[in-house]
Amino acid sequence: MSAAEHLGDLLSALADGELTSFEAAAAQTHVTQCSVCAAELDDVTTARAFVRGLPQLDPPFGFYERVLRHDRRLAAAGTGWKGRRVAAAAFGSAAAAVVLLGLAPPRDTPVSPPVNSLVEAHATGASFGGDPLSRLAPIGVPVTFRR
Amino acid sequence: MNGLVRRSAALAVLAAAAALAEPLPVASQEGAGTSAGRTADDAPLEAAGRAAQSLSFVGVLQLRWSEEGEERSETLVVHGANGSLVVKGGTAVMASSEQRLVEHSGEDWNLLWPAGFSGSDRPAVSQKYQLVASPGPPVANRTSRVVEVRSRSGALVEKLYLDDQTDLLLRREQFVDGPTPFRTVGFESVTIGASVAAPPPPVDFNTAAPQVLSATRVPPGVSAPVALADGYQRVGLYRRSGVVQALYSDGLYDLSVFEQQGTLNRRGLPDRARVDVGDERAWHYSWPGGHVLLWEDGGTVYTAVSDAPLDQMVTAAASLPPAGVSPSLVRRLRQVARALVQPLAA
Amino acid sequence: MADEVVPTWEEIARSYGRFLYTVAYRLTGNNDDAQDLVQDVLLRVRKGLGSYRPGSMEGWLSRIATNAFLDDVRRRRRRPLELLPDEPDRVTPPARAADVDLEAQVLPDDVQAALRRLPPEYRSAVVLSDVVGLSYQEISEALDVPVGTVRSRLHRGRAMLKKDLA
Repeated sequence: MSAAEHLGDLLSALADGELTSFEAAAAQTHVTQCSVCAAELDDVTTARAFVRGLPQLDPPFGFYERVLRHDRRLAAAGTGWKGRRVAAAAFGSAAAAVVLLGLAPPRDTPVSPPVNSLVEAHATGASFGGDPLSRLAPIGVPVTFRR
Repeated sequence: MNGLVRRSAALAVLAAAAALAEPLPVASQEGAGTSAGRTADDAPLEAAGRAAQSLSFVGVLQLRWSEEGEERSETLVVHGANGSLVVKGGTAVMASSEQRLVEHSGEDWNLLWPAGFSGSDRPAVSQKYQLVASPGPPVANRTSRVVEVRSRSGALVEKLYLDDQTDLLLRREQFVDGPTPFRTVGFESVTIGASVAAPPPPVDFNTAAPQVLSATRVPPGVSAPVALADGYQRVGLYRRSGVVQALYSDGLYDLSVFEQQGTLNRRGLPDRARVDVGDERAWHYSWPGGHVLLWEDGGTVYTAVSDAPLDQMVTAAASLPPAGVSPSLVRRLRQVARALVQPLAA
Repeated sequence: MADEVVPTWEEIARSYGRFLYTVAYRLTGNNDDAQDLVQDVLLRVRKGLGSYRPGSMEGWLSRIATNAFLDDVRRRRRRPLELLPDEPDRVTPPARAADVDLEAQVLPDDVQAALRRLPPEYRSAVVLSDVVGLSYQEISEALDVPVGTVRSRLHRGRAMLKKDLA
């Protein structure tokens, strides 16, 4: 069989149950007839087993206690968290806010709309209609909705 | 090869089950024609927009607005060339061909709108507003033309000052009650035609592009009606990882309604007088470009953002159908209600 | 509508602290960076940002952690120096008898070292799928990439791991 007819990453999808039953049946049939794909399927399921077999780890002793103590001190002082890899203290930190539009707390956690990000998404989207300058200029002022 | 799952076919099936990427059909047929054939005075903002994207210019913009009763003002630098423009204050915004990127100081650029996500045509301004053009005062040392925008009732809503020579928007003033503008954005100084290098595209950026949703695939539990009260027509429907954005326009203002399912976390919301939106009480924020209303109704949290005056926003927001009730269900309920009061057939 | 109880960071640390640290360690490959990553997750959780969607706490925390990790990877790519890893890299995989159970021969340290040798994007997909247990669709939404990309990265990551370890 030519290389173009091997299943490639569909093999991972097959192993993970991410194919429809029709596709899975067809893929499984192919695997029984193709030694290349059968070997590759075995490889990925082995690698998956390796990773699934990794144990949970404990953080260094007292790590969370230190973090919580620091966090409480900062919350009391009302200052932003300062750290090596920390985003800007202002609520409207774009990288964090934009990334976090993709995050979902569990169903019973109340929603906190990322207002700064939504304002930016609106104003930049609206700027495609009419005059961009008057729509974009306000975004140049860092939004700082205090919550 | 019978039964063999061909890789491309399987991928196509899997891809179709993944992100939606259909462009939204044109929401508004009325006034959806191209701008060609309209003079700048009929469609001043479109003319200004074309100018901003085609001219070379450098300038200093000043914004003035009211926030929590206080007058605020900020200055920004803007420069444009070859279809690219950058507005720079504490945050930088780049508009390049059909892209929009935002950079918060100290961080990477975020690409919020890649090419091709600009939505369908807006309604014409003249559908809802009256425009009257006349010679204007000098703005930033340039001769201008002023276009007064009035509502149907005759109330002055905006004044747009366009550069006589190029149609570039020199100043925009919004009025609520009385002759003093409530919000202004305008050039303090500008040099048009300067030989300026185009702003360089950013090298590192995060992509935060939305999914474009088609009109026939409004996600379950989302209202996003095709139109809101007071002439707002839906021109775009997007989703960024769970937050659905419906973008509306009345030709002059744009209004977005963001919907998220769940209950509103009230912790940290401002402790001041709220605004009534229909039966709900909404939290209100001002920002240099307009207003934000935040409220919840029946399992959905709504955030409305717009540069429209607050009373327009409230009217439009209040016209959202009840949360969790699909528009077709509302229609059916109305039909049932009507049938109940129809005289019995003979 | 009554205010609902929002899980505090203390509660998250108490109930999911090990899980979160484990995910952070599998992603970053060393203790210092794992601790930094956990603190980064704290900051983001504390800001209270996020859109609503049903899902598990593990899923939510691992999404925050993975996106924070990848953000940091992108920032570091602009710097010329890479942080040195804690453990020495294995140059050759250990020899083993053909009839011995392969999994028993491969130590967790070996797997972790091999994970760290994966490109960050592949590593993220493998961690979210095989450590956390998210579906392709969930990973796709977490990383904001198409499902096909998730599948491809996961498959290549696994293939590289297998080649590295056996």
